[in-house]
Amino acid sequence: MRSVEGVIILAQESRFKLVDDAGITKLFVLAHDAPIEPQDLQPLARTQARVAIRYEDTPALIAGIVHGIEYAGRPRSPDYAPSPHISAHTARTRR
Amino acid sequence: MGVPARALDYADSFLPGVIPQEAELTAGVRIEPGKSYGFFTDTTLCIGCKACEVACKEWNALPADDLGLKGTSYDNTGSLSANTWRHVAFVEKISGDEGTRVTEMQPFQSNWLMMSDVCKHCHNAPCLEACPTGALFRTEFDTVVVQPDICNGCGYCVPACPFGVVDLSPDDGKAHKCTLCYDRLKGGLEPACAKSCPTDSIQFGEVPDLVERAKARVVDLHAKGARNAYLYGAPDTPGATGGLGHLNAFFLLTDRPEVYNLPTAPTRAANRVEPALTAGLVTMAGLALTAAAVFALAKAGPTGPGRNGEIR
Repeated sequence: MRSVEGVIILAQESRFKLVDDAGITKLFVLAHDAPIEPQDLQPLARTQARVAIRYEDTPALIAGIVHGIEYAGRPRSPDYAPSPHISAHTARTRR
Repeated sequence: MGVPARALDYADSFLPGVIPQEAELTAGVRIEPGKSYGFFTDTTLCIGCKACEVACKEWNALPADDLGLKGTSYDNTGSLSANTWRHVAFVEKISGDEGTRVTEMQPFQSNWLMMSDVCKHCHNAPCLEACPTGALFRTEFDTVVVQPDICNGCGYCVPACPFGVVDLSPDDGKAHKCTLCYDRLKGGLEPACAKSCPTDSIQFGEVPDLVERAKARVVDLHAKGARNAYLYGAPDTPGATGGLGHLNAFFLLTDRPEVYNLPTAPTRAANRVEPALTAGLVTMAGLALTAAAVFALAKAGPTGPGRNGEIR
């Protein structure tokens, strides 16, 4: 499972675009087991909330399938395991 | 369509915001609740650029799917799906009626047929009739839209659609299809696909106006030699069959519907409920009668000759 932090800039139904700290935009789709519903995405996009998401890539889609999403500032759940690359990247941007 | 006088009010390259009722400038139609809106897709004008597909995916934030080469066509999206709400079909007519290679070019588009397929937003929408949760609803613009927050992913709408439009996403488990850009309509904007079409193959407007425009186009094509042009899905034409009423997104075709992957005579699934229910009830009644007869005979006891030939 991969992870990334960033700001949601656009939401349509259960799909959203997130810009990470490097300025890279990626499209995501909420999985059926995501902790939020499609209607929760619009407020996140409107408030430009910073979120941390856990996702997986799928070979049939150019998008990440989101299984976990939470405010970036909140304590992370025990099963939250960001990839080393993202951790290093996040550490750099937080310095 | 001429340039509306109001267009001169927005001559700057950079505008401060969205133009009110922008569809008046781009499609010549004012979008108001209570009216019926749809698409007229003239396949003789389609050049297969797929701008409509891209515009649809861009506006609706739909990811690219079904990646890879098909091996059967220059088409790279294949079909409509949960993540592809516009699909441009590439049909190459490489053989004649008797299996021989075509040696004469058809008027318009040579031997290629291209058609931008989309949800038809049926007047009597079978998907809407099949939805048990009310996630599918008819909007104030006479279009049919799925509400993903209400959809429970039962999938009843998928086989109910006679055109194979609605699809369940395996990722979020919900049904998805074209919304005819419901959010854009509410903002007075023309749907993204129609606005991006460079040849006006996809025309957006009020359905009665589009039907009149389409009929005039057929007459014009017939006069120019394309005698095979006809409407599919407009009132009283092929495609508007089986209790569907008419299709709010209808087409001008120049070959049989099945060549474009469209059903020749689509029907509502609801048409089959009454005969299916009747057949089921008749079957149950027949089985009950048979069972009753068997029990009655068993209760009466055997009537044939006994073991030693005596009559009992």
